[in-house]
Amino acid sequence: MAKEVGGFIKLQVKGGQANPAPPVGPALGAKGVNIMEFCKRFNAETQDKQGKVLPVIITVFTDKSFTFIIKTPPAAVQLLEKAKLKKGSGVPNRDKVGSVTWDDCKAIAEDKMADLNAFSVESGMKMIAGTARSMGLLVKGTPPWETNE
Amino acid sequence: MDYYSFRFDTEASNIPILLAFLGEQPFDAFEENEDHLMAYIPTSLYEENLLDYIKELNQRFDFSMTQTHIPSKNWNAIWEAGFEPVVIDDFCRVRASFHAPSSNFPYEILIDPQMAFGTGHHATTTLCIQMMRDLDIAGKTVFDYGCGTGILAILADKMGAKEILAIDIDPASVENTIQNIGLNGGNSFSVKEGDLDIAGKNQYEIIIANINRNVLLERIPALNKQMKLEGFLILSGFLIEDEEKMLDRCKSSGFKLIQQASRGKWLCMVMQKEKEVAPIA
Repeated sequence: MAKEVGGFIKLQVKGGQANPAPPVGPALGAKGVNIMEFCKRFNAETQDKQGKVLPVIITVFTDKSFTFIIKTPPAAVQLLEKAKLKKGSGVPNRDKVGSVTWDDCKAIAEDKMADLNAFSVESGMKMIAGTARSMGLLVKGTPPWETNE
Repeated sequence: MDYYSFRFDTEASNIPILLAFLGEQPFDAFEENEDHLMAYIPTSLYEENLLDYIKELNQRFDFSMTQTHIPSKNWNAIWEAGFEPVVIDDFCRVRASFHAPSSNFPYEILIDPQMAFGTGHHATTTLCIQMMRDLDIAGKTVFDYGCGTGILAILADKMGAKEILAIDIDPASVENTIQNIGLNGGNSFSVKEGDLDIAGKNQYEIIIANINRNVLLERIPALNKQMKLEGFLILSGFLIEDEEKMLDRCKSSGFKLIQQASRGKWLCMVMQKEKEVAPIA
């Protein structure tokens, strides 16, 4: 018989750095889950992504067992990484110190397609480019749909 | 460990962006909500210039911020209050102080885990215990590197180890190990907070390290220095997919594989020191 789901917990935890402190501790602890077991598993599975912000969705069952899914880093985190910014730029739209390319936007859109509310990679790319601009990043070059015209 | 939580109230579209920028700072984890973002940082990593960084972000993104101190607490209390004793083969039983004792097993260990790792419920601990069963520990010197609850050090004592050093970088684990040693008795222990350097130049006949892949890969050469020739090293806390990396590092660090076993996704290895190798500086 399938286990009964007791709830979902969504957190963003840095790879290899889960520990029994907040927010992991209180979120899992309140549901009676063995926090240390989650931390050990999460950290082991994210040794290659040490220090990267990773969304994790934890399903807790009524018998206090759990499973979890680790997603790829959020789009804005990936954009920052691509722009290789150590620090954010100044005022968005005026003081742009970092940039990404349309290819970067495409790669991120494809990676995050399941999470984006987009019907096509092209509309996903536009969303990612919008996020980049909101962050103060320049999107360099010409989008592929314009070069094809 | 005490923490600070930072709550950022802002419009929904700013939340993922703030998360990305704050991710560049030493925050451990985040919680995204509809109208606010929570960010958590250990007080030990908090520095005043973090507030400058947040002020700078605030010039670009409209948000209000509140900072709260969260004192250390046993968040694992609910699970701990209901955990079942663990029996590892017919060899060892791990129970909490509220469970009734059993005389059906050669070794019984009392653990009140609180916020430390190691109750025997996890495959990595179970595998270590199974490997220890197959080693002759009586009369040997043992080093438990990353002791957590102290479960493996306590088992080593019960198996007759002559002298045991148990260390952990986490102060809560050191405290918990001392408490659990108190529950189990034994006087061959030395428990210290810190990393390998506090082991000094002592060499041990058995070293047990249930940590994680990255730490083990980095420290295996140094563990060679802490070990007597022909001593045994039990490695745990990594996945089956990491087997090749671990084997390569062990071989290049003067160890040979004696035994390995897996449980679920987890792999545990017993190595023997074949030769002296200078650690990587």
